[in-house]
Amino acid sequence: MRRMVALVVVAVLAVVASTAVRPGEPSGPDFGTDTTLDAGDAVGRTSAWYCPWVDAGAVRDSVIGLASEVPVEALVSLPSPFPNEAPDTLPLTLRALDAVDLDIGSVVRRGESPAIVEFDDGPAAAGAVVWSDAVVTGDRCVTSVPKQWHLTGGSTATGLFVELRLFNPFAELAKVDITALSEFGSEPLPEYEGFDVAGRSWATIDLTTTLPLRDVLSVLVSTSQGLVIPSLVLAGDTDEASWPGSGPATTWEFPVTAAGELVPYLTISNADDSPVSVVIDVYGPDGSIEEATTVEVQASTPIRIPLAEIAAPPFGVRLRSGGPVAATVEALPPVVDEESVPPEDEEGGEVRPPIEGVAGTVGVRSPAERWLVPATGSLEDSVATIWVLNTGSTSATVAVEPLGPTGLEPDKVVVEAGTVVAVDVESGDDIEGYRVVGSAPVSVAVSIVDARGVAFLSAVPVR
Amino acid sequence: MSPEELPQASVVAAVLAGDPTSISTTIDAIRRQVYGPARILVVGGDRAGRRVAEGEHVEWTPTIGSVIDASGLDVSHLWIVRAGVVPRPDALLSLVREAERVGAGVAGSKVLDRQRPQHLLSVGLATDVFDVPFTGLDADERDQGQYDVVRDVAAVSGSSMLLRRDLATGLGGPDRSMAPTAAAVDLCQRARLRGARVVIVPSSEVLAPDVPTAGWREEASRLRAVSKVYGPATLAWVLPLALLGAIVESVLAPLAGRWTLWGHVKAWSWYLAHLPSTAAARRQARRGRLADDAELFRFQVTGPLGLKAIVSDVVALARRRMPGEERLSVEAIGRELRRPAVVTALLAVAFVLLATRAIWSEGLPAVGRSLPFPDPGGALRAYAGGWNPAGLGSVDPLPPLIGAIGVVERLVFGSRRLVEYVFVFVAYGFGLLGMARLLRTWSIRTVAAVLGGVVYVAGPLAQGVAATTSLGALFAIGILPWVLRTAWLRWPNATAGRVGRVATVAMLVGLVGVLEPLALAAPAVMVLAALVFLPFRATLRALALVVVGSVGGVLMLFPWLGRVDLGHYLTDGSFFWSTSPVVLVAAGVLVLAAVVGLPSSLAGVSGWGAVLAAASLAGARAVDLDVGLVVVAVALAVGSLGLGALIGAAVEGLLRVDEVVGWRRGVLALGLVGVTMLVAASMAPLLAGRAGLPGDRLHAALDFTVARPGDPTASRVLLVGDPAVIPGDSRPFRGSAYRVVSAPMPALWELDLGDPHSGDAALEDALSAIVDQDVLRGGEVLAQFGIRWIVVLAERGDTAQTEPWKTVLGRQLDLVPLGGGLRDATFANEAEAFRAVGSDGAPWSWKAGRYEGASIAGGRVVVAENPDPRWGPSPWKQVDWRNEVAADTGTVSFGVLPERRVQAWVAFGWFVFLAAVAFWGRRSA
Repeated sequence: MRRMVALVVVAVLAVVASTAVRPGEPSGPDFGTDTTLDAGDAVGRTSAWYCPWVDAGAVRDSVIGLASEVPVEALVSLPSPFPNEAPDTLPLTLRALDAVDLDIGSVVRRGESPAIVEFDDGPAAAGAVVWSDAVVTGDRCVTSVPKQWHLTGGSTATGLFVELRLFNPFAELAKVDITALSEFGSEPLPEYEGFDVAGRSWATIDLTTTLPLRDVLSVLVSTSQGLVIPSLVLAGDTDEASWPGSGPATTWEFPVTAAGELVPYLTISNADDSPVSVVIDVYGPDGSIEEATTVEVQASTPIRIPLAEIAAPPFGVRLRSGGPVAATVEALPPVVDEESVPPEDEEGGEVRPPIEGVAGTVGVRSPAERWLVPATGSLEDSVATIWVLNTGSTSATVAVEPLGPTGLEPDKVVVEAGTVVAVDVESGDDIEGYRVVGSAPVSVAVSIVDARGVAFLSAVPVR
Repeated sequence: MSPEELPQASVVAAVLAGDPTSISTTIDAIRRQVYGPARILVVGGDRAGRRVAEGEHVEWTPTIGSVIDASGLDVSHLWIVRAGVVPRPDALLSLVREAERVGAGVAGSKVLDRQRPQHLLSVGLATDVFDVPFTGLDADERDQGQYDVVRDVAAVSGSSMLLRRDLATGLGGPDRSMAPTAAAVDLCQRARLRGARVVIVPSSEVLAPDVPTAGWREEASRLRAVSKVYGPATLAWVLPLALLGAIVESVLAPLAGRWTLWGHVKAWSWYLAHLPSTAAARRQARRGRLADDAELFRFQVTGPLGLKAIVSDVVALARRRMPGEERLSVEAIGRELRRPAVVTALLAVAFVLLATRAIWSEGLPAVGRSLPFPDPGGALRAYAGGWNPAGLGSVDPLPPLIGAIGVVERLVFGSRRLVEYVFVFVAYGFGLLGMARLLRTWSIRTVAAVLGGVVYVAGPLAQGVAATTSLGALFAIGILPWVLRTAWLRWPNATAGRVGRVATVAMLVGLVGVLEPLALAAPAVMVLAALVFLPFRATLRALALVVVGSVGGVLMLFPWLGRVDLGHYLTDGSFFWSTSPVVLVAAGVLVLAAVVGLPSSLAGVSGWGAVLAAASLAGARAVDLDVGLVVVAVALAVGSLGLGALIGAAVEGLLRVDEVVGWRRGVLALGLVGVTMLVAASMAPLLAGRAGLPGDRLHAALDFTVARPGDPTASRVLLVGDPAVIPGDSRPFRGSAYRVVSAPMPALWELDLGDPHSGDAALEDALSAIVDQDVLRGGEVLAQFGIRWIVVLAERGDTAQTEPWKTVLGRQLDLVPLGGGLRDATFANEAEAFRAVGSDGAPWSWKAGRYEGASIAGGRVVVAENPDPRWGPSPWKQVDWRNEVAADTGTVSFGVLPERRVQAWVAFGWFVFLAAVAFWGRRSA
């Protein structure tokens, strides 16, 4: 009897044990990433902005512009090019609705000086403008740090030069893989596979010699270890333009595309495996041309679209694609007919100098009701223009608020649906930036023009 | 003998009146001496001694000193005879003649047993350096004249001692405060120090009662004696070694069934209390000395005699307790060594040593819930109402195992490694032996019993216990079978024996509970299950015993039991046990074969064991029941005992070739396959030598902290990643887990994280801010917690756990990833991060449960522990979630909780009481 009891009990328990299933392994942490945000979105929290193209030396000067909606403490760090040397830092305090410009030359003068701007609160944003006797360039800085960046709009055609600057603001060594896309398709760069960028340092790669005579040149930058902040520098004979990397998106808006006689282009890069159909809408001051053109962008083969063939500048552009693409606008000098006569002004006699230079910027993914526009007051005697594009179906009343001194009234303009409006802004009276507030979502960018060159700066949406 | 042959000496005989009733006998014997003393005096004995002296018409003096003083110059010798000693008629003559012949200052008689005059008690003494006497005689050695030669000795017995009067005047006679034997040794040593010879005169025979010379007064007197005679250089090492020897004896003596701890305590207390008089006596003893310590050493034996005796007793006892039919004897060793039982036992010992060898050399592996034991000194204080250092600290109770570690630490002089080995060895060695002894309860013979023991401590289920890394359950394996063995032993007839038995069971069950509280219930459950399979009446009595014992043992779990959240304790952690299907099939075959094929008595044992093993198997896989890791570990320990019983019964059945025949033998032969497989599987712990524990994980992750500049103990490490890899408890965090530990290596007392307090909440907020990138310099944020490093822990290749952490941490500007071939992704905090920092900015180190740093007069120190006003020195202030206290003393500590301290003392006292009652009951029975 006892034997039977033992066998039965053991059998029952064995069956119970055998039916138990090992619990699954934990899937890992879910820290989440806000995919609605772009590398240039300002949010209501602490943020760091990385400005790779800052340069201050014997020839060039730079200004980092900071703008904030709320009182913030900011810390600008300029890592040293020498290993294990502490960065130069400068703390700044911004009031609510304040903007300040920091002259980098007053802090260091050692040439390339990528910068980090830390805000202890937000929304706040940073941009940087670099200039010399024949250069004006700049853009907003970037705040998020993806593992893969798209940098479109380059060209190594005759008279154009492209550099890629890789800034690693973090302590960890970054191993970078660089892939070039041109009209010839994907072009491997074996010398830049696993390219090391040491922590808290930067590297500048001359793509002109590596990939000469590419009419359209885009770059994919990815990291297998660590992180980098890239920027692309497109230089002409005189001026140059620089813009940060971006991620791919299905919609891009470009409020500014051209300045003066510069010829606007839109470059689209499709890093996906299949062709993508892209629709381009054009928005002028008086109205829009919906679906002004449709192009198909082949995989790994960026295209450059001369926008001047669609409409007469100035205008803004919206891009809609069936798949994620990266895009930039560039404004390049026109091909000069040596036999042509320079225009005379209406008064006769005085010749207005042509606007010369190279400009370019990244677009914005989606319109927003609030925008911060830093670094507008960085260049004296320049003309800064805020471009407001309304791709929506209703008109928007837009207030352009000077940041800095108190008591200044905002300029209010109405931006009709499907139009773009240019608002010339002052840069004196300590006005170092602007906030743009619309009654409806709009897109905002800035152009800075003077005799030395032209720069396009994307504004920073407040999400 | 003619009168002219008689020596010309004049002797005074002093009878020391220890036992007044036997003074007369001694005086009668002295009066019968052929060479009579000039005078006979009775010394001491107070009123009774004086009365006897009057009755015998001899003089009485209170002290030897007065005898010496009263002796005129005509007296040449003093003969000191202890009351009860019967000198043979020529004893004094021989003494005087030989003493004068060799020029001895002290001469002693050969002492024979008064009850058995042919047996020797003393022919002079040697001593060790601690003055422990050594007769050189075998027990019950007969006197065959083998020692009949006059020779120098270290000391002579105080039973009969002839002392030159002038020497006695200088020495002042025996030290009255000393016990007899030690006093005799002392007197002889002081005499030798003054250049006198001390000889034994075997032709002088006295008959003396065989009085044991042990006892704390003897030990105390020996300490006094060595303090009087040795030079300072010798004393500098003799006294510490004496203390060391006493402690070691205290530890070893219980193994031989003796309790010497309190004797040593009393002896040392007496010695210390009498230090002033000892110092005075020392001055007198060494004044005018003619010899040095080397002269004393000439007559001493090497090695500590007391310790040797204890070890000898333990070895002898172990021999007797070895499960064999015959006890070993020296003559039979050669024969015995060839016996299967002895071979098996020796193999078992070798197995234990091999299976635990890595613990000895490397310590416990740091993995899971197995962590190195705490630094010496802190564990006991922390357990008895001190600070719980887990995480950011709390007053949550520490498990009783920490208290037990603290106690053992005190006994082994604070050697952490030794404590670890003691616990592991107890688990393996005692577990194996206990299982073998338990199986003998059911007449299972040595080979089978030892095999059962091996499978019990190292088989698949025991390996499961080790795999849980629950050290408490692993250690409890060492005691569980002893509980059952004691409970099933024959019930004593005497009341004292019964009381002692109950106390023994309560003590053992309590010890099991101290090691792993849940295991306290295991014996009752096991015996309950046995009711069905084993003899009902004996099992019912065993059940009653373990139930009563469990109730009695509960008291030993305080103060832990009074504060612990039992729900958390029983559900924290998880473990899903699995093993090779081959092993499972082998076990199944064995169960079938044993239960069916064994004879009835053994079938009950095997059935019981099989049910226990199967139940533990089910319990260890009951993931749906939300049972915690501790439940699984204890269940596996219980099952392992069942498996050991099953193996033991099956092998015993195979050995009974006469009883198990026919079809039963055929069935059992099938079970042999299972036995072979399970025993083979039990050899796995031999490979790594870690008692089945998994390989170390944390040293590879954290050892780098020692190589970094600065004091690692001043900082913490934040561990993030897979909760299964993070040691001890961890706090869940968005699909991952984290916790902080002490650098360079967390200790066992950091395992259990209690409910979060304000500091823990702040840490979680900080971590959220880092992950959400609300902060850019996470290092600065983490610095307030003393976090200097962050290590991402996960199984190798588990990028799902590591990559998200590496990404968010890599984006922090002041967290520097460390390379250098570290196994785990590791970040260093660029911000200065100290768990305690003084107002001068200097870090304070965490040492054995408190902080130490450079004192700052009037300064303050901020301590990154959860706030509690009992941190001191006062004044205490809460700063954010941290503590700020005075830095004047250079030490910051937590004031103990008095009620918990009392409870801890009560628990310990209860254990001692149970042990004492158990000992008394066993002795009385």
